[in-house]
Amino acid sequence: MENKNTRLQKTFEEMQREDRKALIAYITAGYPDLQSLSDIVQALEKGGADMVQVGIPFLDPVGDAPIVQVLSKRAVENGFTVEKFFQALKELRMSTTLPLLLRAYYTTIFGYGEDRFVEGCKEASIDGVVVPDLPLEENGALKSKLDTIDVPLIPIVVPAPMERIKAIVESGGGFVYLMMAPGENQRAFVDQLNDFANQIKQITKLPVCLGIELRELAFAKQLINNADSVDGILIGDVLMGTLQKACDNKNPGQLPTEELTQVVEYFSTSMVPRR
Amino acid sequence: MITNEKAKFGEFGGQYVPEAVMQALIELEKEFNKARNDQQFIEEYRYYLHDYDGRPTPLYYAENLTKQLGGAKIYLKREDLNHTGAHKINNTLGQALLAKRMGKKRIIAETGAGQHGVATATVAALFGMECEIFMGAEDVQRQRLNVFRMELLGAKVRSVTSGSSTLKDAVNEAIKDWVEHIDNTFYLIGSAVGPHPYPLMVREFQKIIGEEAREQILQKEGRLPDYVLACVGGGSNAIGIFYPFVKDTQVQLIGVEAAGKGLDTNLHAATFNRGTVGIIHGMKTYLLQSPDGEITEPYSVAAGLDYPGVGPEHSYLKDIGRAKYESATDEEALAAFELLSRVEGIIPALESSHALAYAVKLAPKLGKDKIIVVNLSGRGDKDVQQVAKMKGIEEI
Ligand SMILES: Cc1ncc(COP(=O)(O)O)c(C=O)c1O
Repeated sequence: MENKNTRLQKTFEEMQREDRKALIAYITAGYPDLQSLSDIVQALEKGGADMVQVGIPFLDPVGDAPIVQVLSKRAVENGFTVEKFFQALKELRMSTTLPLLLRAYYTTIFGYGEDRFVEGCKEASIDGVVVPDLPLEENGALKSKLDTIDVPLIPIVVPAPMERIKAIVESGGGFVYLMMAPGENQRAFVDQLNDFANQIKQITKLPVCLGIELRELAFAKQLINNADSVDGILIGDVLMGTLQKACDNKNPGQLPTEELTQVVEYFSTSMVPRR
Repeated sequence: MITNEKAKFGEFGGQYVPEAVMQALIELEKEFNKARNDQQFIEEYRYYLHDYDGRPTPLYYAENLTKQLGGAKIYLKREDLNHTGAHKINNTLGQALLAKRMGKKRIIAETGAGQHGVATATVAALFGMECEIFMGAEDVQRQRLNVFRMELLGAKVRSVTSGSSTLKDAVNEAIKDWVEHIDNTFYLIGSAVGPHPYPLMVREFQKIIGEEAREQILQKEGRLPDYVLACVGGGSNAIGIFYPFVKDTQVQLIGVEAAGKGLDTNLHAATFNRGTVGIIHGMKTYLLQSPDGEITEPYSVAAGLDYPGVGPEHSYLKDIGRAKYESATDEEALAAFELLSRVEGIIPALESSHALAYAVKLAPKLGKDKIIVVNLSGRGDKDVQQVAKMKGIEEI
């Protein structure tokens, strides 16, 4: 994958030139419906998102944010299927040039069929795949299939012995997702986060992004502006919360595109250069 | 090519879990492997099985039942005589001792109908550990008596409202809690399911059933049985009695799953007879799922059998042809429940009644020289009220 000028690589290079962090906007597909996917992503792009992560709803997640679970349930109740989703993803690909990450549980991928899944990624020209329930021990089969279409499996790391982190990072590509639960002390968390990111950077050239749930706007903003050792931050909870609140309160069919744009702007416009 | 071989039974099992859970599993596997090779640990486990739980459980020749059916000789492995009334305690004692050895002060577990929750709360009380049981909000409502039992034993019952508020959601919440409190918490799984090393560990703590049964039948009959039958929910009582017989290829192993209202309805828990291979709770195994891999709700009159998946070792035994998996309907199980009560004076659990129901079908087809061992996994006291209600008997 090294010599390819992928969208993902280009974006991170651009971030480096501009000396800022990438804003990864994350939403669960199928809520309020699949037809809205392109409009929602356009709203996120307009607000200044650098990448978009689209999640396939899954009803039995271990460790998804409550809002993701709620939207997933609604999506499935509204007739979401993976097949329809890939159709919508192809349309989405035509309406945006941003890197698109696809987040799916291995349970879903296996149920749908690995080969069909990979084919869907290829047709929608996906830029990276995130699979939360597929650790190093089990990722061989999917990874080799994704390799054939040059799509990286994004490695996910948590604080662990360095040896293991190294093996995980080497088994994937694109960038590294760092997962670390913020404790009580938010200020101490920023330091821990920077330390951890720096340790990872000593063993890989891949960018390192923070992939945890950030429910509080102010805390998220504080992280974005102070976690200087990470190259990107995922914003999901607040976006999905906004989407749900608006869709539940307004007459259905009216997407809160402006509100979504504003939430992304809240982060993108305040993003100060590093150091 | 099978990857992660040490964690698998053929292609089944494995560890399909988030990285944060892997950290916990790696620690658990390391400690379990140390413990299972430590004579002192094994002796401690055996001590509690004997003095606290009352093992060995008898292998009882059900002469009346045998005569009534007029065919093969039927023996019952009396797991109903365990403390707390079922085989579940073999496993909770083992895992709680491991937790103690690992220095964990808090035990958490999931429970559906409450049987495993009660068995867990029991050992937590015994070893003086803090205990929290995750239970779907629906089940908390349906199983008030077991909720009270757990509380009486000093456990806290956490009502889970995520997802569909049932067992599978309780599992997800328990895993989440485990990852967040890994320093002091041990997650005690109730059946031979979940990510490696759980299916292996639960089998190791349940294989005492088969070891005893094998020895007992050799003593009584001077030979091995022709059939060993057990009901299959997650598969712990079945793997416990099957495992010591796996190498004895002349012994037919038959698991009996819940056919509920019938295999041709949507109301059953017949994982093998109606399911396909997929991923659930961190393992690859047969399960009831939609074409997109979403888990579908199982059903059985026996709460302990309504699990959408099955332990991975059973999937392996099925695929290599070593074990067969049949099914019994609610109706057949209820008939067996009443039959055993009447002819032997033993009220079996509704779960175990499924294995009995299959024996009722099988025995008359066999000669009187054949021997069937049925694992009577639990007693039916817990089910009496439910059965009375189904028979239209109002308040008891
Ligand atoms: C008496 C009894 N038998 C069987 C089962 C089913 O579990 P397993 O298949 O793990 O033995 C249960 C579960 O609660 C039970 O209580």
